Amino acid sequence: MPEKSNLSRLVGLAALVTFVAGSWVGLFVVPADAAQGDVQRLMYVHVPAAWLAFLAFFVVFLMSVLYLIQRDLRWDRVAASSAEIGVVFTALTLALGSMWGKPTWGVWWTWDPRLTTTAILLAIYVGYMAIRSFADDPEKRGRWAAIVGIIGFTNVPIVYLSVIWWRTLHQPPSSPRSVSPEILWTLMLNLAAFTLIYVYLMMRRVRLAEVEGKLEERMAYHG
Amino acid sequence: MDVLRRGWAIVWKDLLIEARTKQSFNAMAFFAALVLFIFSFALGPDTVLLQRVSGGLLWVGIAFTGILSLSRTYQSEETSGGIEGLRMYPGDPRAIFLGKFIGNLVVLLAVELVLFPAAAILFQIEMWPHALELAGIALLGTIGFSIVGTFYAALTVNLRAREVMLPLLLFPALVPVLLGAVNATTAVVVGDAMQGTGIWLRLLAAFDVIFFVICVWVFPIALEE
Amino acid sequence: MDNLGFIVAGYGLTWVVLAWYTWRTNRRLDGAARAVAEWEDDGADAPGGPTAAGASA
Repeated sequence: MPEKSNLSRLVGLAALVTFVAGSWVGLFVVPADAAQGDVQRLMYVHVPAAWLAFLAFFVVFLMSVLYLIQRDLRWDRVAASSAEIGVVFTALTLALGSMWGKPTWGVWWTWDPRLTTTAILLAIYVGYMAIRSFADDPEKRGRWAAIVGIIGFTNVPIVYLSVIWWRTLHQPPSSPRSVSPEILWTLMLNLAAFTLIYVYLMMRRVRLAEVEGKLEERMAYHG
Repeated sequence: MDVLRRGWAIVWKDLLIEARTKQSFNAMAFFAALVLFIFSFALGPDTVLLQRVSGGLLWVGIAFTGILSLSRTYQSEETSGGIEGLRMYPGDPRAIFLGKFIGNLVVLLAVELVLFPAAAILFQIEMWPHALELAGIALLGTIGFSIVGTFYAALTVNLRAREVMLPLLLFPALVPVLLGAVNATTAVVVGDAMQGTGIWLRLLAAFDVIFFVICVWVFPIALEE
Repeated sequence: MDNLGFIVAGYGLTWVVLAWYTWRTNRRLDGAARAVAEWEDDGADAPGGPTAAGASA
């Protein structure tokens, strides 16, 4: 019996349609940026990916706090799912940033505060996933992971601030340019598309965590 | 305060063991000096360059040495089963955290007391005029390192792969401490007015307070059965 | 379009990663659900039921 629910199918379809539309508009419809040229089109996938990574880790933080208060494994499953998706999107964000940086700045990597913070974020949540993999008992795993999730997320603004100071004490930060409405709308469309993808992936991933939890319980009972 | 009294008992016990045996202090101080040496070899004998990166070298040395000492934080409880042994202490578990944190802090500060003069000699830095500023930076940086380190050492103490897990969790969390301490140290050593030591000291102080509160708050949860 | 290679690589990577992760999650879910179903068919209390190998998919 394949695991399919109508709701997740619907969300998945909506995500696919919005995503195709978003990529289409970003690639072919919206005019190229005046200053950067066509390469700026990468923004329409890079920024939503970064936004999702942060959203996913914020969900991990909320669910971690909830888990420590209520000790309901449901919250732990949501946190674990969101962390895994967050790691995928963080890695994607870094790769896209690199691909955008090469033609724009001439280098694959620069110690830009946002780029650097994202890389550290990846390291923090790889640690989160690693500590999960070392605990066999679901209750203990949830507790340890929740603690790492809380400490990790609290650290994000401090890391960001420290990297900004590190980078900008010698050079003034660049002032943001005004963004044209077409660019803004295309970005919004892609943000919606990525958020729908997140919702769809979360539905599937949480379901997976539930089924795996059930299996684990049985094995502990019978094994 | 009962928590403080119990915490102090743990500090006293651990430091007494350390003072009697000196097993970790000697090795750590030697290791830290060795790290400075190896980096100097790797970077070449250019004194101006070494002075410019001395803050980084010092704190990399402290971080590596600190990891070694942190993974031994709960060693004296090892024979009674690591985390289970810790749970057997009576009273509030926060006392364990406070005690272990202060123990780690004292040992690391003692290592730095050797390491900073060693760096001054190796890199030909005039440290005496800046001794007070450097002491402040070292104290704030080491407090931050010890808070998060003591906490994550407890979290990973019973893991199969704790030697890998402790640095994997700790180093990303310590980025603000390292950036703050390294930049403040370099600013003092090189005398770069642009880099402003004050802002970094404030960052370190803020980090210390925030993570002290969080770690004290969640430590009992980490120790639960 | 200038820098066509970077744009194609960027969008291509996004598509491939998202498609791969969706496929992987759905495959894991189907595998786990099948293991649960098998278990229930066999009767959970019967000795010699499905082993860990079948369940870890």
